[in-house]
Amino acid sequence: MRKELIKILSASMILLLCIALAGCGQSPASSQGTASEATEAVNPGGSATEPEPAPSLDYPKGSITAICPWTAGGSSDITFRSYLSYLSKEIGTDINVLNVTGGDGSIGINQALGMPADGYTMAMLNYDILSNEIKGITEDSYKDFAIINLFTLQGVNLVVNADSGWETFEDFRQAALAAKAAGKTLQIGVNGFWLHAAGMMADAAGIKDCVVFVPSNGSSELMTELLGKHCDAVTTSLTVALPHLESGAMKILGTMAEERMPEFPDIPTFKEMGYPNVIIAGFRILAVHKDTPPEIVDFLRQAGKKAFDNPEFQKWAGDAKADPIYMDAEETVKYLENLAPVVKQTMVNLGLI
Amino acid sequence: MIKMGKRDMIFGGLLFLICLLLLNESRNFYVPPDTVAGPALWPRIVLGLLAVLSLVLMYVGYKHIPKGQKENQEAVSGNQGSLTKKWASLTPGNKRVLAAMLATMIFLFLFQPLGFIISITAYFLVITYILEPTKNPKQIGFRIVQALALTAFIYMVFSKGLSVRLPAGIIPATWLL
Amino acid sequence: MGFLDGLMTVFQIHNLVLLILGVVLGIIVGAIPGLTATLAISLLLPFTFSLEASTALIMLIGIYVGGIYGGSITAILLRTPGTPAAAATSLDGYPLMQKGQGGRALGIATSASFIGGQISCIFLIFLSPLISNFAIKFSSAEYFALAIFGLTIIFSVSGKYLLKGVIAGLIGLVINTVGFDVIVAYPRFTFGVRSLMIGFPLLPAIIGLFALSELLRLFKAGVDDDDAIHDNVGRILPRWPDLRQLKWVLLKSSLIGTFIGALPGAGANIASFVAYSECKRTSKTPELFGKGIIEGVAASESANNAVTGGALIPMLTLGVPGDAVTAVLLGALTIQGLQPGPLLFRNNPGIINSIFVSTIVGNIVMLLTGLFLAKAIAKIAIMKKTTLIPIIAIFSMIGAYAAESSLAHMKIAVIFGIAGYILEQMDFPLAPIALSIVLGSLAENSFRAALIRSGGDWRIFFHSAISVVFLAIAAASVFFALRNQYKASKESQGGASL
Repeated sequence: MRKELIKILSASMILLLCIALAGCGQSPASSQGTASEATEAVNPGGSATEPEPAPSLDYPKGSITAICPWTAGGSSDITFRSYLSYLSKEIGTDINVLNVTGGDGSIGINQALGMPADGYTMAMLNYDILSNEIKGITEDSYKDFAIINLFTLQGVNLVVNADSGWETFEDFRQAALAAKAAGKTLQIGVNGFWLHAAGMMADAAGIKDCVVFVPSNGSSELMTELLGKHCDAVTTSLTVALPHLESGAMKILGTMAEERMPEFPDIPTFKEMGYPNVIIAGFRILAVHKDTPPEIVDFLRQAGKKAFDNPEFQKWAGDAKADPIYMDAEETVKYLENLAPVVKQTMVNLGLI
Repeated sequence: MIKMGKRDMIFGGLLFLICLLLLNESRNFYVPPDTVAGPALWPRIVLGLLAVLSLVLMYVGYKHIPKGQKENQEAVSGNQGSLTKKWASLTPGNKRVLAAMLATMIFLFLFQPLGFIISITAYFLVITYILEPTKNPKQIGFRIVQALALTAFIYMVFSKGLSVRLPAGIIPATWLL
Repeated sequence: MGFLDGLMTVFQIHNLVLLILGVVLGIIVGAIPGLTATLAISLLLPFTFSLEASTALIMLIGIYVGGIYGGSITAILLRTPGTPAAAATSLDGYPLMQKGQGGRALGIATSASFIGGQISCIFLIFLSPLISNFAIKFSSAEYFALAIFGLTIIFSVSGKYLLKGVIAGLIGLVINTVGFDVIVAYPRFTFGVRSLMIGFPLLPAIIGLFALSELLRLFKAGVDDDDAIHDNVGRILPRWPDLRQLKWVLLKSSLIGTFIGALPGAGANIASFVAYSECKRTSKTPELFGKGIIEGVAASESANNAVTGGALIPMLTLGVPGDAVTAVLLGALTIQGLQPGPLLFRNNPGIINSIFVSTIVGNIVMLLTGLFLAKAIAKIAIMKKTTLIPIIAIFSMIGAYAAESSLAHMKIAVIFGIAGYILEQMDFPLAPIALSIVLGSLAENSFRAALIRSGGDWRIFFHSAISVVFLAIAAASVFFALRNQYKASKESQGGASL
């Protein structure tokens, strides 16, 4: 018995060591993050510039959980975590990100809606909240949420190899038509909802029969597909393609954003090129359950705006090319209401529904 | 007891039926028009191969059934026996396995409502008891200490070290913070 | 000169301490069943937010190197691979443990990991551009051929139960089709049940198949026969003759690991199985594999640690992750405001060099701590079974739960544990199921992508030399496995060849 106890104790020591090490691993991080500590210490007391929440508002009392419907380490997850770290400073409490993946984002959304509407569970809404509802995969809708705000909006771009010989989208369109005439097709690499973007573009440009949309296992594989010339073009976000754009290996023929990108002011939008309906962007929206008490929602909306305006977040998002764009709740709902029928039409055109 | 060959035959048959069921379900998949490789293509190839091989397994199993038993298909007489009788006929090893499976199922159901502290402690005590029943109070006390120590570790490693949210259950969450 | 700068950076005291911490932490997390290097890095990612870029990366590289190795400790001692990458290590490591040679297996695993890691470092440093150019030749058809090549390993890991092994592999492929189809984003085989939409994720499935089913087997055996887990781990420090005997195995497996690591989409899980099977295929005594042979441990471990250097190659040169862990590392680079890809070499040579140096130093730290720490961790294995079995059971289930704080994942682990136990009782090998769950989606997605690309023309799989070579090797190994089977059944005359 005693021998057993010693063994267990020694095993315990190892595990304790592990925890201690984990603690040490964190401490340099937090000691360098002086800003965060300072704010956390100050904020609960309420700073002078901040409008005091109504005295009746006893929130937040504990830590908040934010559900990210995508895997840890992905670009959505990273951007979400970064934004939340600034939001957490504003509201003076910890926000723990929980990755609940699967079902194209629908599992996490469903779980978020199943939690009490007390403001202690947040969720990130993405493009899939529209497409999943349209497909009938889920009944959950953005209407089940009280939107806090939209914090990034990434236009989708048509990217080709620099040595493709195509200078403009019109060159690409002509090449597609020529390929069709020769009994061939051009191949556009797609991944996830970028398929919708490619479909929308091909439809509007009248080259739907001249191209094939080749699926890939991820956005980074998409880059090798193009670099290895297995595809003629890809539709993708700026984040993924940027290193290759800067190195000169790839170039953008057009962006499907509303306006030109600040990083690439010379790249025309499809809207300018005469395709007014080819506007599609990946968005990230912070939201809570729609039954959350309105005073908590208001509190979070104010904090959300401040977190977005934090110069540190702006710098981070600018460096990471995460396309920080702010829309308040009203604008966001209007945006989603306008987008939903477009998404539906695109999916019908693509034969997805 | 079911003999080796017979078991394979039954399993092969079962597998074949599952394949048919899934193949039938694959007809309900949404297939985009004019696609060359829809969602049903790969599952059908795999299920087709599996269905063929499960028939082969049935055949091989049939060949392995000792001659005398081929006519006597109702050899599995245990079917009519009551549950208690069946339980009594099991070897101690199989009893432990079934008890452990049952305990694990119950653990799964109670993990969330009871919270990790109570459920892990109780689960530890139950499966140690299944492994090695004892009535010695000293040993039981020792195990309770072990169980609590383990729960504390789980809490430290996962909850504190890796910030995994373990369900608090009936012990209020504030108590943990 | 740049390399010296890298040395200077890594040997700054706080960087070195964090590197050592990272390696040790990685080993421990890797050894805990259910916690992978990917998970460890993802969970630690938030802590690196405010660290300096090179410091953060040095620590993450340490976790990566340690995490991939750590899985082998529990794979050998408990047949519970701490990470899926160590599943192949347990095939021979655990039998060695049962024979009372646990220490020898651990020593071999540690030094094989070290050698694999260092060889891949050399490649990382000197051959980065070359390998990257080769990697972008891979497209869907080539990936499909690679996946099929990987799947034919089933024929060599199934032993005498060839038919059952192949059936098990196909069951794994079917399991893989449950859940969301990524290409058209529609649920398959969910029968309207929402919780089935997540499909059967790899981590809980592996925990169930390899850890929980083994525990049930231990329940059946009971605690009376205490020889199932030996008390005697023995000397861990490897003996020179062992290493000399293994030199070709180590070299070849390290090369395989580096190569597979450099391929985007294929990571340590696949590398260890491929190297194991390649080692068995070319061995003079293939029948000893799976019964406790040091070649098996060496092949698997040197390959999975060689993946670390290999996987960093496309990540650093192309901005394309070689495996799941480097995908997360890629995220860490982005957090730091660095753009991974071709420009990284030009703009941030300091970062690149400190990554190189920390990989080398991290491997040395891993070797030393491995030889030292493995014995301490071994203590857990020689606890009384009555205590040990419940502890592993609870750790495995909480590990399955931990990744997403999800009860569904825990349930999947339990279901796979019970199903795995029943299948094993019926002489179905479990490794093929795990293998096809690992390779299944790669096989399916690239198969369909290739067909979509070619407009349904099946000849696309024979267009490039790469895919033809992989498919030819795959076909040959199926042919030889069937021929051996036929010979064996002819010899036994009873047709007792299930």
